[in-house]
Amino acid sequence: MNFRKVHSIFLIILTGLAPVQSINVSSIGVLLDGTEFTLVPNPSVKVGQLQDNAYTYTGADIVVHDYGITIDNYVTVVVIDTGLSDIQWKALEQNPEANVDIIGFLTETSSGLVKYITDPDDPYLDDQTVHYHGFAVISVLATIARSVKVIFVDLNNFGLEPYGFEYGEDKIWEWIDFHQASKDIDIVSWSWSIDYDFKSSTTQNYFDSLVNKGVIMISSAGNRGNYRNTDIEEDISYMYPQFYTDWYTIGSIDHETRSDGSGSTKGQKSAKSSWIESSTGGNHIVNWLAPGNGIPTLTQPYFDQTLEIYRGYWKYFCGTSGSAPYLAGIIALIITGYHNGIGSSTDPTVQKVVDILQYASSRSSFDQQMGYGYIDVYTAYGKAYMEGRLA
Amino acid sequence: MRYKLLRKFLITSVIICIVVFPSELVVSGEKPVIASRISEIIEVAVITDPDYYKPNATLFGIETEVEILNRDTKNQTVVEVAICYPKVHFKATLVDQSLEIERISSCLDMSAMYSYQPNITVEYDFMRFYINQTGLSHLPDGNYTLNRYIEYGSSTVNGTPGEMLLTYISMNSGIMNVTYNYFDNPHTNEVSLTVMFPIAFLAITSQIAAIYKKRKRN
Repeated sequence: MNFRKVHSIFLIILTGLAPVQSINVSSIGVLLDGTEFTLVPNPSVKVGQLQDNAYTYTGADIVVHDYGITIDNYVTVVVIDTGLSDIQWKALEQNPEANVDIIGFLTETSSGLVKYITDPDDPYLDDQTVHYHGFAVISVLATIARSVKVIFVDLNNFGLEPYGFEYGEDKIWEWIDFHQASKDIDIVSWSWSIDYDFKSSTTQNYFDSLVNKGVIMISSAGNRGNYRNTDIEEDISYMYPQFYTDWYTIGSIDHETRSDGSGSTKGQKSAKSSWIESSTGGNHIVNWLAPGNGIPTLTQPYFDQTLEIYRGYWKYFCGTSGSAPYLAGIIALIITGYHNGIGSSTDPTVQKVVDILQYASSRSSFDQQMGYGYIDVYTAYGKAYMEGRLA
Repeated sequence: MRYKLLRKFLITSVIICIVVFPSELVVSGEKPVIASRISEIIEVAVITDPDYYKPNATLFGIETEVEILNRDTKNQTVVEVAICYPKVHFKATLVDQSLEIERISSCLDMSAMYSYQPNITVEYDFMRFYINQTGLSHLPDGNYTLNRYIEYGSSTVNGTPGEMLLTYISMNSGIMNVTYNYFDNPHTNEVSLTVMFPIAFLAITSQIAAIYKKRKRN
């Protein structure tokens, strides 16, 4: 065997020794509307004119875009969430597709004082560190309830910040209860699930008081897709404050069928939407559903040099965190419709709003996991207007 | 003579293969790309925050440093069906079985997507929990097992569980012992090389060489 042959064999052997890198061939699919984490195409139409399936499914496009209904000056929504930065605040107020009017930012200083900020340029906001969820949640509200007044309540980010309210603090409820009339607070929207039980009688009394004053409190059902919104791995149930009867629990409905593997089937409860308690237990369950599986939310706020406004990019996100503000927006439309019908700022009672929601529900019978289904916004607004006329 | 030399060469090659690529042999494509471990118990403290006062209970806090390992050379996407804190959890077996642990945790009900760069990313986490006894000054005696669950993949529907290394805290008469686990191959890419492939290749090559030599003799 000559050298050339030995060399050839050597090269062949080396080739055989070479590591074989695994190649993951990801399936190439067509990006469909609502695919999680993707940009919303043509947001001026999809969001600005509510032509995305997330809105046409409920008829929100007819009321908000076709009829041009914006929320009147006598409806205020309190959104309780993690902090907002100054840029996010401005983007939520200036974004051209949909926006709100943030009238205040309520927080607790590191020394325990309650602070109410009305200026997005307040230097206090410079210290905000985690602030994307609240931004996204308010943007969902903005798509349905155009120009609605918002008071943002700043929760401490899981105990990681020196400011913001802790879960167990009654100062939040005390403040909302005290200012309910002067700030015209009608709705409290909460997109969290906590295992802190809010059991204190003081807290429960504040909940009762707010309901008695006509405030509708709604909360997301959670994303675990199971009973009591339980993390199976850790055996933790995240089911507060949804558990309490003063709160209405909102799950997610699939507003379209997708073939992108996300398991979205139009008209079904989203697979990841939880339910909290059996009706026979006398406690709360899922009351209604609203689109939450792939709905447009605002992300990445920036200053648009051309338009000289703050705005953001619309992306599809998933979770019942979106369903709660979606329904909060519908309730704001109902209250506005009632005001328009009655010709004054007299609010409907909580029971009246619930009756209207029930009237416009997609299901006539109750289901533990789906509640009464989703709300037809066109029907709900029309009913509210007529109820106002007849009042 | 030459054939013997060739055989020696092939055997040497096999040895080189085993020596040079030991980590690949260990990985064999089975280790998850993403792994997590609690790399340091920074502080264990009793919290006296009045906002969290609860009668007949002591509130504890454990601050931890967490390492997320990405074994790949590319960024890896980690998705969460809900944004929950704390991300570190624990299970405990307490000597005093009348004691109960009640954790404080919460979730933002929105899916989230994170990107982890290759190698190790350090994060910090803070757990809080009540134990149903007042006046405790340190963790009750017993064994505590801590973990940081993580899934990776581009969607919240079909996430792949990452490797989860456990950290153990043992409390005995108020004295704390911590046992950490370590990543065994922090800088190795996931590869599908197995020892079988080069050995089989060498065996076939050796056989071909033997046939060739035999034919030449004939």
